[in-house]
Amino acid sequence: MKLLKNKICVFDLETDGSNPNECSPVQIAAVIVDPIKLQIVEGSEFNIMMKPEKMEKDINHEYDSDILNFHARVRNCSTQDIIELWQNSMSQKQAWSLFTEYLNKYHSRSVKKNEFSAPVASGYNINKFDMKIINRLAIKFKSVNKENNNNIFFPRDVLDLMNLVYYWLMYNEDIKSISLDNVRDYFAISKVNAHDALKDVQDCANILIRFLKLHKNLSGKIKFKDAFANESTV
Amino acid sequence: MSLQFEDIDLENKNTWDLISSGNTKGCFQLESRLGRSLAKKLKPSNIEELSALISIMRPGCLEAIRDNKSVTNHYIDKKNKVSDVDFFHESLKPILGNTYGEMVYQEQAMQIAKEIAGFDLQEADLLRKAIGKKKPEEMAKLKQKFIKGASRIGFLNKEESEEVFNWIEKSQRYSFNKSHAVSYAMNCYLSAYAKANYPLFFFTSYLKFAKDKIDPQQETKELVQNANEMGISVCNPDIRLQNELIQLGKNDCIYFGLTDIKGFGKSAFEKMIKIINNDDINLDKMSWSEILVNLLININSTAVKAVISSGGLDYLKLNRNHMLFEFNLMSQLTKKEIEIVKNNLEASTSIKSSLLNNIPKVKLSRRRTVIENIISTIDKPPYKLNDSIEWLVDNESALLGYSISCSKIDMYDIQNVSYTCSDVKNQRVPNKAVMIAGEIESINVTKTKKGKSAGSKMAFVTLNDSTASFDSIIYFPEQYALYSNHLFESNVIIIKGNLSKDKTAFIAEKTFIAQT
Repeated sequence: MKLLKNKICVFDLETDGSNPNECSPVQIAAVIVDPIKLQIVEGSEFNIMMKPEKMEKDINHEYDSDILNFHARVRNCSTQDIIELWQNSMSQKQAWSLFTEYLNKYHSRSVKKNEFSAPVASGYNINKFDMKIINRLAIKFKSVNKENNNNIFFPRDVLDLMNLVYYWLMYNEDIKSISLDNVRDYFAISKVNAHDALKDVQDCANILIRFLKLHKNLSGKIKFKDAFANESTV
Repeated sequence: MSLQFEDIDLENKNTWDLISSGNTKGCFQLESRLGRSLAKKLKPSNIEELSALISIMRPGCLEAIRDNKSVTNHYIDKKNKVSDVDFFHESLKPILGNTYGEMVYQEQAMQIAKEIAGFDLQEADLLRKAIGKKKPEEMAKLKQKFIKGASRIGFLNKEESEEVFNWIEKSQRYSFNKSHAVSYAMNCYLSAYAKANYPLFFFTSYLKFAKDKIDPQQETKELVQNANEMGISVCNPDIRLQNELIQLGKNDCIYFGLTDIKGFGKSAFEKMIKIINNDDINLDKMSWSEILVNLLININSTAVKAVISSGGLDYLKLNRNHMLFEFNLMSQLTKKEIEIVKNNLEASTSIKSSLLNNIPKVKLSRRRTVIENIISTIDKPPYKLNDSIEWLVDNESALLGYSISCSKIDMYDIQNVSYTCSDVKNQRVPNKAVMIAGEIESINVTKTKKGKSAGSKMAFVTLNDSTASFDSIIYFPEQYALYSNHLFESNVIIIKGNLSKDKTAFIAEKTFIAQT
């Protein structure tokens, strides 16, 4: 089979809420994985803070303390610091433009770029959360194809690491849940700076690389051809 | 440079040496892998032999098998005195003498029909046409006539004349006429003469027309590699030269033209030249920031990105990604804002300081925020603005057809590798196991036809490094089974192996994934 040369973009959005249909990102972090070398592309880290949409409309928008407390805990600062950080961050539009320009740098070809040469989207629990926000922003900032789907990522695949981890480990009783923290514990990945978006994507990328290496090694050893040849079909 | 046809010496040693070495990329008719390989084997030393070479490369001679060997190989072996020159019959000696007893041209078949079977020239031409058009009824008639005529003339008996006729039929099916072959040989010699004696002009011209080929990228790649192998430097485009097309520049380097860059069209080129002339722009004396706001921002962004990504502004000694990043940021400004930056840039040292100094002049607070964000982004880019080797290679390959400034191999630890693809290609490796490294360009998996592992998979791999592309690396079934996992396009590998007995291929023994 022809090898897909599209790079994989492992990304994470930190948001100002938990409902992906309403919240907006306050931070985007990403790294790029080379699907051939199966390693993180050196120097491919992306990290940007952005002003939430609510603050773009009203700079003094008042947030629930739960949200601010969560971010203050992760960043080890006060809730006032979080408010100021968000207020002084870049607009959604400018940050989006920088993110798409960054993705543009990692297309599988350098001319005639389109969604089919774009990186494959990957991350932890992105199917139900991050991709919804990405698709919403893509429409808002006109990064869409004819079908109104985002054109910044490869359209065929979304590699949700949470699904991958679940189906590999679902029979394993040693791991209690598939939250990223539990998975980090189980794989003995350091939790220093956990929940910092950049640290999260780097950890996810490293886990993904392990699984891709596993697939690569196994696929050469398992004989899929004619696997169902001796089974009768009804 | 001017060269008259009459001035060309048909016994030029450099030219015949070049043809005999198989270095015939760009030489008319001998460009293909087959052409290069046969030129190397035959080593022609005059137009007569070069004409024969061009004829024996065709299906007629390649597919006409006699004594388990093609006419092509018979001719080469006889010319190289590996086998004796024999003539099927003494009577054929005057006709086939110049071609070592082999029937290479259509004219020879016609002459045999005339001399041996008494055909007149019209009948001989009918025979030529009938063979070419594969008309069985016509052939049957002509065969009878040939045998009858031969028996009347008396040089050959019935069996012999039948055999000669069959021989004519087989080898002449797709063969060439000599007049055609000689004119091709002359054209071939002319291109080889230019390549051997004026390689700089040769490569400049050929690269200029590479874009008209079916696969321009492949053509450019092969020509640049070949030029490098011959010690000729091909350089990235340089915006200061303001050249539309590939040209010979200073220090005997060939420079890509700006419209040779994919994405930098003629209209972008014309616009650029117009701005340079109208605004009296001196690219040599301007800083990056000045070039950005005075020139680049006025040209379409695809063209600007292409010229930066292909190295057209490398002389400014800035990372290409840095320039792309600042160009993207500047594109967010309105024309009026650009004008403000432009007018105040001379007094400032950078775009950032010019922006900082001029924020108060921007009336809309919304626009002021945009500018403040740009300034903070210049200070703290959200991603690294380094030019990784991989990025450089990918971009130059896509935009120019070949990566000039570096090769993917440069990223890998290949200290144990002491030979290059060029060494293998030019047989400059010892008669023992050696290591080579490179990026897999293509793989052709096939099944063995003979031997104990008949039906097993084996592979022919094309590997390239910065020195050359070598297309004859063989993985026999045992090695293919062991290393098929490593064999996929774009993978960078290290191969331990030997040159084949005839030194034209490299036989892989072991394969390792190269590490960065």
